Amino acid sequence: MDVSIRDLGKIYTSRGGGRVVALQDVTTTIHRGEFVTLVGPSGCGKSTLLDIIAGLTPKSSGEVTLGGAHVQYGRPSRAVGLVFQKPVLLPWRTALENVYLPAQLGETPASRSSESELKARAASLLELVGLGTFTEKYPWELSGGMQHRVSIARALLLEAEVMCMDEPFAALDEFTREQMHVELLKLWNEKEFTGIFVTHNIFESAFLSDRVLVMTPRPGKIVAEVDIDLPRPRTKEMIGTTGFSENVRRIRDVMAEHWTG
Amino acid sequence: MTTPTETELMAEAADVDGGSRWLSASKTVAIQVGMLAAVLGLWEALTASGIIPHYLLPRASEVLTTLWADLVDIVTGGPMWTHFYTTLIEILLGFTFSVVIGVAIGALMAEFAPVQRAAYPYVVAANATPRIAFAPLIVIWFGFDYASKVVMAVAIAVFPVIVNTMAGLAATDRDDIRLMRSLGATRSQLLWRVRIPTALPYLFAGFETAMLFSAVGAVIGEFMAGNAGLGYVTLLAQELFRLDDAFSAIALLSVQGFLLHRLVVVARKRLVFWQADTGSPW
Repeated sequence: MDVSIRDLGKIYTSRGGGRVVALQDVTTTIHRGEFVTLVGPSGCGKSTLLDIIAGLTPKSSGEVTLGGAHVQYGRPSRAVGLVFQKPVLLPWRTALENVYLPAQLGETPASRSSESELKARAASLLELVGLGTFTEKYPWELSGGMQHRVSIARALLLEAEVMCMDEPFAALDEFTREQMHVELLKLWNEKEFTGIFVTHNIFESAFLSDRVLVMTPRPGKIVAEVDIDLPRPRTKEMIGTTGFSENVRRIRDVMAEHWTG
Repeated sequence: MTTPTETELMAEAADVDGGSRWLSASKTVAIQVGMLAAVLGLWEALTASGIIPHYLLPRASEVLTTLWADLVDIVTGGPMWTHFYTTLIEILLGFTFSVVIGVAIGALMAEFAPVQRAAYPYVVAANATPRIAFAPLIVIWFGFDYASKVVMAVAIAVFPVIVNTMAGLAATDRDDIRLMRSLGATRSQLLWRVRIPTALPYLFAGFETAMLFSAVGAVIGEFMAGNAGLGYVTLLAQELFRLDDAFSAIALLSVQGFLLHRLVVVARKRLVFWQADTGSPW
């Protein structure tokens, strides 16, 4: 489903009455099946924008629609899957039980009849992210990369059409991160969700995206859109090519033009 | 990436860890037993040689002989069994009431901010009040029987439960709450699926302290009034200058408290299995 954002604004009011403009006049449309990255320095409002799309933070002005339906604060849509910077797994649940968690929540949790079907689905998602033999392991028995795979599988359990990812791989080591990039794109290709990915890493944004939305802070806004002209599927080998460097340079140039640290 | 070799390696690594932990466990036990033997040996040397006169401290060997006789008495259902059993029941009742009342008050304060704001200073003040000062009143109000001992035990042991329940229910990670909200969790789903499991380690820390405090409270209760229990035996033996009997009863109280505390620890390890072990062999 399309994600449409129009004239979106967000103002935080501090306790002392000071106002911080986190987002100003943000307008863009993310098309169905597209993979878009929000890239920018700290404080540019990219995480706030993601939270508003996910219904976790109230907006101050403007509107956000998912497939035509207005996003309401406090009523997160089941069509949106969220992946956080930390994997946020519950330590008393196995990998399988963590992936199954979304089915047990909400006003209408899974009934007994759909339970086994959803459990099977959770297991096949773990298989898909390469953890088929780890379903009964607890989070502390898994590596950092594996934990992130579990959290991605969890976000996919209820057939999310839009995946919102808030710097999910920022805490991983370089090698694991590159591996996760390739696997994430494989999942995206297979599940055909719309990807919205937040990062402050320009290389990451270039590698993953169809389109990079460059944001700058004070006030947080989208200053430019950069189309990435690399072929799909993306491979690790592309990282060293001049084509890749060219795309990275374009993002950098736009950033330099609008922002001076 | 998930080849069987990796799984095997992980399992093997776990085995090695377990093996070394077991080795250090038996070593630890040896050190602990050695320390006890050293203290008893020193005690025996100081008393047998007359450096410490007998009317101040009985010989360690005398205490051990009495302790053995008391243990036989307990096992065969003699008078010491009645004392042992009486104190045991007092401690367990004190602990149970402390848990029920403490969790209720703690949860109420954690859930309703106004309640917490209104009541917290008084909870702290009550905890700082020497409960022993109420001893005569407690006897007048609750009599010479079990009730006064249990009340004294609860008066001391309820506080760690209250404080830990509050802390535990407030300990849920912000990210966990964000995740649950993003998945549309209701308030009760958040409570049962995340906040209560998160609070469990805190609750058990409170329960462990409550068990020990309850044991102290029961003995204070027996000191106040009554004619049964290991605390009563200790008091009576000291009044009669039968110090070996007093030491034996005190040792029994220690062992009793230790075992009851272990019971809570074992329950914690079962229920809060995801928490890293402290490495203690017990």
